[in-house]
Amino acid sequence: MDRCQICNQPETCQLRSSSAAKKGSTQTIITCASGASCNGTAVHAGCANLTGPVLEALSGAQLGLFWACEQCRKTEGSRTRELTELGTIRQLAQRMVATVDANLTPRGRKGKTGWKGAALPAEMWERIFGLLTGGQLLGIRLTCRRWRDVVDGSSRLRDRLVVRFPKGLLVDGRYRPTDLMPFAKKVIFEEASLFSGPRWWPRLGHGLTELTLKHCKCLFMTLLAMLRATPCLKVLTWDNVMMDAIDDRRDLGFRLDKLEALNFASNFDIEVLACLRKICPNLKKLALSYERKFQEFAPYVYLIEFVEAVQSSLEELELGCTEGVLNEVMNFERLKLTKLSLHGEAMTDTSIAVAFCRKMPTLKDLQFEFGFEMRESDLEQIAKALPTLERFATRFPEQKRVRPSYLAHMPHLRHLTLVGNEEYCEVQTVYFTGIGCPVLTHLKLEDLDLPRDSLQQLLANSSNITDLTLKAIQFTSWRALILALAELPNLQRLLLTYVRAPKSEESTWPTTPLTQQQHNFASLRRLEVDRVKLGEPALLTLLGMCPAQLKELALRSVEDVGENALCLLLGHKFGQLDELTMLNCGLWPDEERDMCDRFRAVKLLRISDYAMF
Amino acid sequence: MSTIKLETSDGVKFTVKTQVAKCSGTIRTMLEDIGINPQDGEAIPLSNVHSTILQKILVWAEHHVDDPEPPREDADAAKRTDDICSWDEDFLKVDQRTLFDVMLAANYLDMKQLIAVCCKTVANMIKGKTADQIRRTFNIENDFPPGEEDKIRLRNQFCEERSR
Repeated sequence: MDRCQICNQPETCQLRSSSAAKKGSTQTIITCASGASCNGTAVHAGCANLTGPVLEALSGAQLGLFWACEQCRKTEGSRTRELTELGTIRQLAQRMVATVDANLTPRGRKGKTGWKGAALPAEMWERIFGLLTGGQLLGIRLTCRRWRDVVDGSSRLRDRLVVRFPKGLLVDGRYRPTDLMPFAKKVIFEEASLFSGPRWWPRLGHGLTELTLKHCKCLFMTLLAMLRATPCLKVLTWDNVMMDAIDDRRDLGFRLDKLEALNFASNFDIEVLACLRKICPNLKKLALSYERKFQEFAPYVYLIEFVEAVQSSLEELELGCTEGVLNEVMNFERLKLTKLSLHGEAMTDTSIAVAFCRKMPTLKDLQFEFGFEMRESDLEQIAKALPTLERFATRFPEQKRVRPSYLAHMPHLRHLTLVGNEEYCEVQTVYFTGIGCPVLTHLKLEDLDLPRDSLQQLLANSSNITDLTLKAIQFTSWRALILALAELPNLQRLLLTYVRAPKSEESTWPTTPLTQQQHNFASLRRLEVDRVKLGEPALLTLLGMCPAQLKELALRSVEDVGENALCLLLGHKFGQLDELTMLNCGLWPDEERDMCDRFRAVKLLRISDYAMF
Repeated sequence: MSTIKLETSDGVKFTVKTQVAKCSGTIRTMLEDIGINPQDGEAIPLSNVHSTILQKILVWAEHHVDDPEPPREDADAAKRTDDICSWDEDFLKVDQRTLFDVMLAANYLDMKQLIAVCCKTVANMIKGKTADQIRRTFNIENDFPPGEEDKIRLRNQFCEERSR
């Protein structure tokens, strides 16, 4: 007796396992059509994953589709095109089916009306609609039945629709929404009062994956009743919700097995965690902001107990907290975080974070925000404890001079954000001497003073950077900035916001461009300059370094765009721009007109001198 | 340079550079995986494609034959519709019937890049229009029973697009 080549069961065996039972209807045997060299290899259609029209086409053999096993295809491959592998058959058959579908007149439609909307199969329309926003999809649903069915039938498209209840809504026993989108997956209540578990809620809640409560008042019992009816919920966001007394001793009698993320923004009752910890066994992410009113230890007990309860599934923790909380949480043995973001106001000793990181070698993403301004020595210890860190963000502690030498111990860093301390009375000076991040792709620096060749040193050793953002950075001279940028051959997006250089160098600027590395920005596609008084020579050099393939150029409040820079822009260099913005750049009306004329073909054009922003 | 022959649904035979024909995933599969020998001189039948459409598609394939493989795009980039290159834009300035026929043929021939650019073109035809204008653009009849449209409009009022 022949055996199926995939499951190795005989042709007519009784399949017992449940997965095999599902394939029961497709136990049809498909045999190699060549048969020349293989003696009739056979497979179960179910095992080869062949169903429906494809299977019919194959077993009927009237459509000229048949299958040859791999061995026959190899030995006789060049002989004839009819030797076809199963994957190809599937593709061909599906395409045939789609074409037949498309050519059929849609139901309820007279054949003679030239309704070209039917000329494309539903999958194609789904793909087109996938390029539209949620608002546009609503218009599609209004167009005709077939298109409405396409939208309603596609979970990917329905994901874009959000049900947002009107502000100031009072949900009590009497409120009944007239007609709700039946398939929505996301719901937002804003400034609503939820006072009675609405009877219509389960119908909406059943398929819901995201629920947001913002500035709401609600009864605890109502909220529980509503959550009970949302078995598919994945993300629950809690932003400024006022509740009555929370009774955490109740046995809730339901679980939210699919809940992955829980966000608490501001002004929340932390006691609610005591209830929630019993019902979200698979939580992956908890974000909870710092609340001044919880400064004393007691309310944080709820947080600690919560993390303890969900520690085995938790991966991401964004926490506003105190030392006491960290001290407790770091001792949970099954807690294995990949992302940690910390902020808090009442920190007196941040070295607790060092101990925490030592206990979490799984961390890939680490962010220290307000309140966690770590000392260099602490960060060095952390870097050594977490050699595989990929994303890192920190604010500097209050000191005049900083040298982030710990970066040398983070060889896998891809995203780096360094921010100056705004509490400190001066701009902080950062020295990057001898520091580099070889695989870094995204760098953001904010509120810092980078003297002489400090940035150049960093960039020279981090040549894989594709995205660079400099915000409120002070340089010694524009020359230092330009020389530093020239080190980045792979740069794709460059954003300069309120960057400044105190020394004017108009007189010392070389007339010929600075370097021969002008074309170094071969990959640059987006350049944005905002509130930077570059001066003409520096701007000219910067534009000169940009390639002709630049797609987006935005100059905002760059007041001294000189005549030469304008000529360069007006010339034919930047022929491939998709977006050009020049706001408040001190253009004369005739210059403005020239620019508009020259770039008439650009898709997004904003040129104006009186723009408010 | 090697060539192969393609035969359309209306019996017209085209001789095409193999490299150009391979822009089609379907033909590429036939040649590479199934092992049709292009020197046989026998034409590959494309029973779902009319000669006028194939001609158009070959013009596109000829122009894009040297395009590099598109990078695996992230979800955001894939959603853009304003990045159609000007050559493609001109190429797709055709009547709707032809545009849809090109899309169907591109689907049959498995030409991902062409399908993508067509979809973007159609999406751009939809953007910024009301339901009524969309119906007029695509010559669609409003087939909702009386009252049904208002009902959907009511449902819509609670909805809005997802804020990013």
